[in-house]
Amino acid sequence: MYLSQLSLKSFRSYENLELKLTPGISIFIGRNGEGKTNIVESILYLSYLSSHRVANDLPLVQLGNSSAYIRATITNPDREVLVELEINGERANRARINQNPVRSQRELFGLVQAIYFSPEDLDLVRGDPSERRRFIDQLLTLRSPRMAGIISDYERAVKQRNSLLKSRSGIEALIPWDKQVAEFGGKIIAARMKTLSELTPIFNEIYREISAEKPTTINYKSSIEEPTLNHEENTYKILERVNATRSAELERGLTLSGPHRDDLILVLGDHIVKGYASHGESWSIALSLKLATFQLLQNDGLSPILILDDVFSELDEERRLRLIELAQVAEQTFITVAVENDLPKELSGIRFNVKAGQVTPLAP
Amino acid sequence: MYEGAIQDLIDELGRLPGIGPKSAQRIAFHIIQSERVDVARLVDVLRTVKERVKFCTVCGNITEEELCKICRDPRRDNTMICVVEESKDVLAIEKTREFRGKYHVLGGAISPIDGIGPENLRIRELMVRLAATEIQEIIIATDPNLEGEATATYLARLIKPLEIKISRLASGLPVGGDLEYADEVTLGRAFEGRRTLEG
Repeated sequence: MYLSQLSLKSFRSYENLELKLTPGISIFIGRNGEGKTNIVESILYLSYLSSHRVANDLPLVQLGNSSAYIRATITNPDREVLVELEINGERANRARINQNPVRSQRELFGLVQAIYFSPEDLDLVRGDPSERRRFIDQLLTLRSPRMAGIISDYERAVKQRNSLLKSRSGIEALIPWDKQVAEFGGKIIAARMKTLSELTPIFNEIYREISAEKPTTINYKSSIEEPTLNHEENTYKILERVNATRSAELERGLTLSGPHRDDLILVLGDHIVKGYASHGESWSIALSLKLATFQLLQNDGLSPILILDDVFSELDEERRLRLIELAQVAEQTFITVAVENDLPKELSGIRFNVKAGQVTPLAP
Repeated sequence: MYEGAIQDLIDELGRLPGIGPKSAQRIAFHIIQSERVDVARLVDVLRTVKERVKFCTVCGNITEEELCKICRDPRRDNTMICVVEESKDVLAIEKTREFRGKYHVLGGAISPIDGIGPENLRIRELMVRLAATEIQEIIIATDPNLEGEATATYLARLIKPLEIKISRLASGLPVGGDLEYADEVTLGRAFEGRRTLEG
């Protein structure tokens, strides 16, 4: 799968952008603030329906406009799909697939799979648990688009439940929401555990290759005891926790058990990575995680788009090589760099100059 | 922004569900260009509907009498009640002609974020009906979404001690459609609710 055309309208710095794209490597060169990351951000938005840079959609809409538009043609071996997405900032987005409006933008999940490497990846190792939950949930959704619905239902159920807890409501009113939180939550935990069990061996192998001899593991730290691959067992355990922590939940007005409280614990050798690993080790781990993700999707039979957003300046020679190798096997790769000198010499591809919202192809 | 009456009209129309600012403007200009009698008729029906239409004292469905058409009908089965969120759901189920029992309209679904709790719905009225009459089966037909499911669970727990048969409408694939056009949530539900085929 690759994108053969991308147009942006009122998206970030782009009033109107039309790009013809090809399989293989495309490189966007431009100084900071000229808008190169905005291009890859739009591609990632099609894949994840959220930005990798901001939590809220409002900054995506160019100032003075009410909506931003992303339009892309996805070329698969057997067919072309035209996706159109209207990002509304405060209201719900609207989407069309091959000119037909779809009921929810969630139906776009699964059409574009993209994996990105960016300086923010370091947050996977050093950031809050929410960063790692987002990482694993995004991976779940890429692998199984149906998970998007379950995750969004879960988040809404937690919100509804918290709203009841804050109003110090009685137990009878809480029970229907306990049930929903436990059912969706049990499924999310099971799906995370399953994906993690498949990701970890790949991650270990890649880490060993690019870094040291120290063994690594990823542990799933859960708010329930001994989470399993069986979602019904998890549901039962969430309900147990919920019953045991009633008074604490009412006191704090928060749902205290469930996948929204969980974390992935990265372990290197015999210590926890967060807070202990050096800058270099942290980078190696973040990079290995992302590389493993790409590999896992390939094992699933998918051919994700690879996005390397401003990462070369952060990495040493050996790690750069690793990414270049990947760029060469990926069906389509988008790279952004500030200056051409940052580009590894081995890298060939179609180059675009990005300046003041204008994107012009450079002569090879 | 327009001035005076026309803007007032656009604002009022824009407050209606499903009507955005553009549609509101289009309708407003349509009204301005319409014949006086046509507008008068519209005004009349609006006023009449508000004066005459009320809610059935038994089931909560819309009616112009004390009791709605279904509650008045002696041929309907008094032992079954189908619980729905809105009056328009009654109409949808009536079209199937599959159900010959009576209805109970809740007036919405439980949604704590919107401040709608069980006490804001016609649940107490339902319990009174259950206590007073010979009901043998309750079919819960709230919407198949989070809030509808929570409402169904709440009702099921409330009714259970009365030892009345409770069922919930199934959710899954639409009949006559193509599998590939089903959205992923519906398809997922259909998978979970799959049945063994008796061959």
